[in-house]
Amino acid sequence: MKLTQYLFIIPTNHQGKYALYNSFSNTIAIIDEELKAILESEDFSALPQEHITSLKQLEVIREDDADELKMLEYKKKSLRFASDKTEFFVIPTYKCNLKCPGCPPRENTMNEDVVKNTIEAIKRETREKKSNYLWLYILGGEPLLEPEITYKISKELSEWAKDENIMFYNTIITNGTLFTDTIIDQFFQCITSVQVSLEGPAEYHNKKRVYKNKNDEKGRGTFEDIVNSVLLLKKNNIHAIINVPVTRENCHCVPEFVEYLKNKGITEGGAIHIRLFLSKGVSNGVCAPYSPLCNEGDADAPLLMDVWEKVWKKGFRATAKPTQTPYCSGIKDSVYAVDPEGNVYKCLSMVGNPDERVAVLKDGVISAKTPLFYELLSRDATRIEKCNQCKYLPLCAGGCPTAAKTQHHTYHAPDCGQRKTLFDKRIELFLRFKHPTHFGVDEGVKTPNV
Amino acid sequence: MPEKKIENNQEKIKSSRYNVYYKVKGKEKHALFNTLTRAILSIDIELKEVLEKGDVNTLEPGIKESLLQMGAVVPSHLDEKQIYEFRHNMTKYTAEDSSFVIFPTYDCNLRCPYCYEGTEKLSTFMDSVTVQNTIDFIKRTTVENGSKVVILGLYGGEPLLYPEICYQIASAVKEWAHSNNIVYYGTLTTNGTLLNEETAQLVLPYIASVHITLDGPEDIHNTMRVYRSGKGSYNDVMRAVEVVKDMPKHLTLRIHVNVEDETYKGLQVLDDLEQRGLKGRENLHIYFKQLEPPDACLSLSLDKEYIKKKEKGLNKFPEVWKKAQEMGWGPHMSVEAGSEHGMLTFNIIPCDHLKRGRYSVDPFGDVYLCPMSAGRKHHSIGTLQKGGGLILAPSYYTLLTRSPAHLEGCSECQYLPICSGGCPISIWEETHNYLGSYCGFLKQLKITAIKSHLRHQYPEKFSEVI
Repeated sequence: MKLTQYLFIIPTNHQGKYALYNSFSNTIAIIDEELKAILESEDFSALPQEHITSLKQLEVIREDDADELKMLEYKKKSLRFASDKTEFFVIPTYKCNLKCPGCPPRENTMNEDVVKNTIEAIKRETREKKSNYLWLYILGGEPLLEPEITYKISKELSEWAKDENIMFYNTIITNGTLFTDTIIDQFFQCITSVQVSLEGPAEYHNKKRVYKNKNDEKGRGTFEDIVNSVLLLKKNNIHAIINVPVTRENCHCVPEFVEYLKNKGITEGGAIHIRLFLSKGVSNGVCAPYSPLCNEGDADAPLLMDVWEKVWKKGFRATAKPTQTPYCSGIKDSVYAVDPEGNVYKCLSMVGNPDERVAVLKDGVISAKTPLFYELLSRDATRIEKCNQCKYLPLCAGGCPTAAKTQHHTYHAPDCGQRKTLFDKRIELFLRFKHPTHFGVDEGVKTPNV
Repeated sequence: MPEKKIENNQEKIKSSRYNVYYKVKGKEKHALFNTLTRAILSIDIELKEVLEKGDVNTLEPGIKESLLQMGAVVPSHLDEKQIYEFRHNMTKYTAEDSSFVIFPTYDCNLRCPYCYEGTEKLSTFMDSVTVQNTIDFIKRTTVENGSKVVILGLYGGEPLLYPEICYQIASAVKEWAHSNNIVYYGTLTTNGTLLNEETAQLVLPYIASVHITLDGPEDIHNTMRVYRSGKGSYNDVMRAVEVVKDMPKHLTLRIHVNVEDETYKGLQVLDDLEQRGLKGRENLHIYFKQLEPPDACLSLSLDKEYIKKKEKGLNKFPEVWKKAQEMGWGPHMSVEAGSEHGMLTFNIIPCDHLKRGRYSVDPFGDVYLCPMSAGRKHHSIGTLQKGGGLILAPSYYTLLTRSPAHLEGCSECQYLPICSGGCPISIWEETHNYLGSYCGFLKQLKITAIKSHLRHQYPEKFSEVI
C-alpha cells in the first residue's frame, strides 16, 4: 500500500493533532501524531485492519498498483464529457442602461432569427445529449432591456423542458435596476434564480454603476434601486445571488458592506446569497460574474484571501469547502455561450471576439465548429508536465486555459499563479468552520451564506 | 455526412492527415477515403499527387471548397487529431445510458462445437446474494452515472436455464427505473430452446427485445447447434421464434452464413421464416454473420486461418446481404447492402463495451467491461460488494483512459479514427499490456473492409479497387 499523492497534513491548534485533507476525494480526518508518523513513513504494518479500511475509504492510502493520475484523468474527463447537464449562456442584447467604467458600449440585439435559432439549438443539444438537466443563464448587456426576448426564451424553454421531463433551471443575470412587480409577475413561472451585482457600499458602488441614458438620471448611482430590487425578489421568495466583485479598489470596504447587507436583513431566510469573487472588470461588454476558478491565478488574488478572512471574522463563512472544480466551461462539453449575432463561444471572456468563437448557429444547429473548439476540448491538465505531479491538481484542474494561453502562448500549459495559496486558505477556512475546536475561535460562524 | 468545417475558403489549407488512397485497376483513378470524415472521392492521379506532395492552396477554388466540405483538405491551423480525440473522448466518457450485461450462468443446454464457454464454470449460477448485489449495483451505478436510460441485457451461457433469476433482476430494475423516471430497456439473448410459453410469461414482460441465433436452415443448424445428446435444436428454436412472433417486441435474428459456400445455403432459412409468417412482421430485424466463436475478437485475433476467413467474409458478405435483399428481406435488415460489415466501424472507440457506463456481471459477481472477456478473471474490473458497491480495479482506469491519440505507433497512423488503437483486451492477450500499441492483423482487416465497401457501394467507380 502507499500514501495518496493528494494529501495535505495540516497542524491544528491542539498539540499532537493534525487534519488530513485529501484533494482527490475531498475528505477530511483528524489524526494524532502517531498516525501522522506512520503515514509519513508509509509503513502501515503496525496499523490495525480497521484503521487500514478507514484510511482506504477516505482514499488516504491506496493499493500499490493504483495509478492516481489515471484515476484523476478518468474522474475529470467523466465530468467534462458528462451529458446529464446541458448549459447555455444566452446574451439577448449588449445594450445596457448603465455606463460602468471599462465596459465598452455595445448595442447589438438578437433578431428574430437568432432568437429562434438559439431556442432550437438549445433544445437540440439537450435532446441529443439526453440530458436530465438544462441550465440556462440569460445575461447581457442588460437582458431586461429586451424583456420580450428574454421572456420568450425563458418561457419557451421552460415549457419545452416540462414536456420533455427535463429539469430546467433559469437564471437571469441582471444589473438589477429594472425589476418591477410587473416583470416579476411575468417571469415568476419561468425563472429559478436571479443574479445582481453590487460593487460595495452605496458610496463606492454609486461611483461605478451609474445610469447613462435618461437625462434626469444620467450619472446617478444605482445602489438604492438594486437593493430595492433585491428586497422585491426576497418578498416574492425568488432565490437571488448578490455578486460582489473584489478588486484592488474595493477590497478594503467589502467586509463592512457584507455586514451592512446582513444588518439590513437581506441575507435572512436563506433566499438571498452573497458571492465574492476576484474581478478584473468587464472589458467585452458581457456583464457576468466570474467563477472562482477564473481569476484566482491572478497576482491580485491574495486580496480575496484577505477579504475572506475579514468577512469570516464578521461571522460569515466567506468561502466554501474547496470543491473539485469540474473543468471550466471553456473545456467542458455541453456548455455554450451565444451572443446576439448567433456566434457561439466556450467562455464568456471570449464572447464578442469572432476570432475566439467556436461555432455559429445555423438552422437551429451549432455548426461550423472551429479549430479552437477542438483545441480547447483537448486541453488535459493530467498531461501538462508541471501539473501532473501537483497535489492541487484535483482542485484547480490546471487553472484557466485563457490565462495559460496568455502566459505561455498555448492552452496546454498551467495557469498556476496564486491558486495554491488561495486553495490553502480555502482549506484552512473550511477546517475552521467544520472543526472549530481544532482550528481556533469561530463562535461567530453561524451563517454559511457567503 | 462529413461535418462542415470552415466557411471561408480564403484561408490557408493543407491536405488531411487522414486521407488514404487506393488504386483502381485499369483506370487512371484512385479512391480517396478519409478515415476521419468517412468521405469517399474518386480522384485522378494529378489531384492525388497534389494532395500527397503538392501545395493544395494552388487548387482551383471550386475544387478546394469541395475538398474542404469532404475533409480531404483542412484549414492549415486545424489539428485533426484533436477532432479525433474530442469525438473519442465524448463517446467514451459520456454515459447517456448505463448498460448491464448479466450472466445468470455460464452454463448452456447446448454444446455448439464452436462455442467459447469452458466447462469448468458451467455449473455455477448466481446465488441470491449476488442477484441482490447485482440489482443494487445497477440502481446505484445508473444514478451515479447520471444516465437517463438503463439497458439490461440477459446473456450467458443460456440465461433461461435460470428464468427465476432473469425475472428477479429484470422486474426489480424495470420497476425501479419507472419509479425513478429512468427509461428502461430490457433485452434477452437466448439460444431459444427454453423460450416457451411458461418462461415467456415469466420473463418477457420485462423484455423489449429478444435476440436469437440461427445457424442456417434445419439441416445445417442441427449439425451445429446441438443438445448435449447431439440432437439438433432447430424445431425448438423455431418454436421460440413463433412464441415471440405475435408479441409486440423487437425480435432480432442473427443468421450464420458460411461464406465458403458459394451458394450461401444458409440463407435458405429465410424461406422457412417466410412460411412461418415472419416476413413483414413489424420490428423484426435480421443480420448475417460468419460462424465463429463469440469471443473470436479476443481469442483468434492472431490466428492466420481465422483472419483469412474474416477477410473472405468482408469481401463476400455484401453479396449475402444483397441476395437477402433480392429475396425481399430488405426492410428487416438493419443496414443497406454494401455498408453493413462490422469491420468498417463508424464508431470512434474500439468497441462499444469499452466506455463509461458499460458493465458485464458474471455469476460470481465479477464485473467486466466487455462481455466477451467475462470469465477471464484477469480482465475483471472488480467484484460486487454488499449493497452493490464496486471498488474499481486499476485496470479499469488503465482501460478507460487509454488514449490512442497519444499511443506510440497509433498517434500518427492514418487509420487511427477507424481503429482507435484496436481492442486493448485482445492486445493484452498478446502483450500483457493494455497500453501496448499492437496492430496484429487489424490494419489489414480495416483496409480489406474499406475496399470491400468501396467495391460494393460504388461498383461503377470502384469495382476494380486494389
